[in-house]
Amino acid sequence: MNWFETHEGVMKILGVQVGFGNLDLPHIIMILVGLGFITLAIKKEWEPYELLPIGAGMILANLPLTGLTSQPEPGMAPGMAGVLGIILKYGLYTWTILPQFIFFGIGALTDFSPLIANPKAFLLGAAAQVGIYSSFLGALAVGIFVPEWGFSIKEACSIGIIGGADGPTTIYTTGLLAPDIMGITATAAYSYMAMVAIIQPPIINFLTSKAERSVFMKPMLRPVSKAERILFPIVAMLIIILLIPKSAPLVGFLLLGNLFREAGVVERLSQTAQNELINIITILLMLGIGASMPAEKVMDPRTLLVLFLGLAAFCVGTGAGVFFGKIMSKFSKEPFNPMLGAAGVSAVPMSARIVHHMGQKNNKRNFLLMHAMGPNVAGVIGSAVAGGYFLGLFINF
Amino acid sequence: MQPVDWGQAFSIVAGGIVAVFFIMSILAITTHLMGKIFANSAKKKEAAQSGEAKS
Repeated sequence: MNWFETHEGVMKILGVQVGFGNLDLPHIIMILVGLGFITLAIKKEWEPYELLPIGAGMILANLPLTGLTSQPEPGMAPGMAGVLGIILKYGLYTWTILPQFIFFGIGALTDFSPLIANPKAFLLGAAAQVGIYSSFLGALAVGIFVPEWGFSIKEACSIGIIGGADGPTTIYTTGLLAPDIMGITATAAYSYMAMVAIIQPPIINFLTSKAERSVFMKPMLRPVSKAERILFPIVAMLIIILLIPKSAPLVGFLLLGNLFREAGVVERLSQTAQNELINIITILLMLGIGASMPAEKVMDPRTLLVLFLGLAAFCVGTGAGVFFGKIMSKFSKEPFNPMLGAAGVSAVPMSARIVHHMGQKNNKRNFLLMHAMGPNVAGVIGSAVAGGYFLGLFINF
Repeated sequence: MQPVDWGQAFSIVAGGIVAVFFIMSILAITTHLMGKIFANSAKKKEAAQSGEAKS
């Protein structure tokens, strides 16, 4: 009798109940990816509030035998559902309420004054959404070349929406249209938002001349009255939701949060939305996103395609924004820096900061931050509208 | 995998781009008009106040 035969019982227990015996290569790779995200968050401070909990959720979801991602089902014995499974099921897959509350917090944190002062910025926010539709077509085209890797039309919508560079919109849209790829699309959206400083400058430099990047704009926008700031979320909410009702969960909550901020009479609620609420929801949402990426779902060649198409959407969106900025600069009575178009993607406030820094690099007198914040916050509205448009095509609430 | 209906795909793209630009244009116009109205009423208030001060 050898050692293994003698200790067969012990080995069986180790195989069944100890994680090491059940750890395989795909899970190890996913754990390493999770560690990579945590490292990027800590060392590089790339979107740490998102990438750190996503990485942690990814690690927890890929550790074997934990049961953390077991989703509650009818007839399940009490205590058998895992906490991450409960977050996934009720927060993301079934009720999809977490992204909406994130939008509520974002609305409470957002100052729309630069957009109200310069409404033309709405058009830049619209132009930057073109990337969404280019990657939508790209995702559908994959099936022509490699049929087994092809994406369905709903998956194509979810991939395209990454181009809006808006995490909650991506999560909400994908959660309803293609929940199987939600983890990847959400991670792609947040990762590309974190990499704005790497992705956008080469595109802006390629599409604009030094003279265009140096265009000086007066630093001050007109002052916006309190009444305008209060009326804006109400009017915008009514217009958008009456035209695209399916955008209500996103646009409605974004502008409701903003109304709380601007009203000035519910300071405690506004502060809660800006701090405690958004922090709690961020923890739940990002852990859930990380947990939605077990190796079985992610270890697929299509994952790389989603990442590539998402990046392409982001790049095309940036390019389309700059291109539209160039058109606007031709027709504008006052000097207009076309780089502002790049801020139309809704990576707030990173895109605006990039445009500001590039403006200062090319012309030290330039102070473009407030000008760039206009298209930047318009991009948030634009991507929510684009998401609502996709949902309106396929979802009947 | 179902074959792609490219007619539907392109109509989705065209509809989406038109929808986003249309809504954002309406928002731009509305916000612009709102600004004008508030600026005019502020001017009127100022004029009335300076008139009162003179009298």
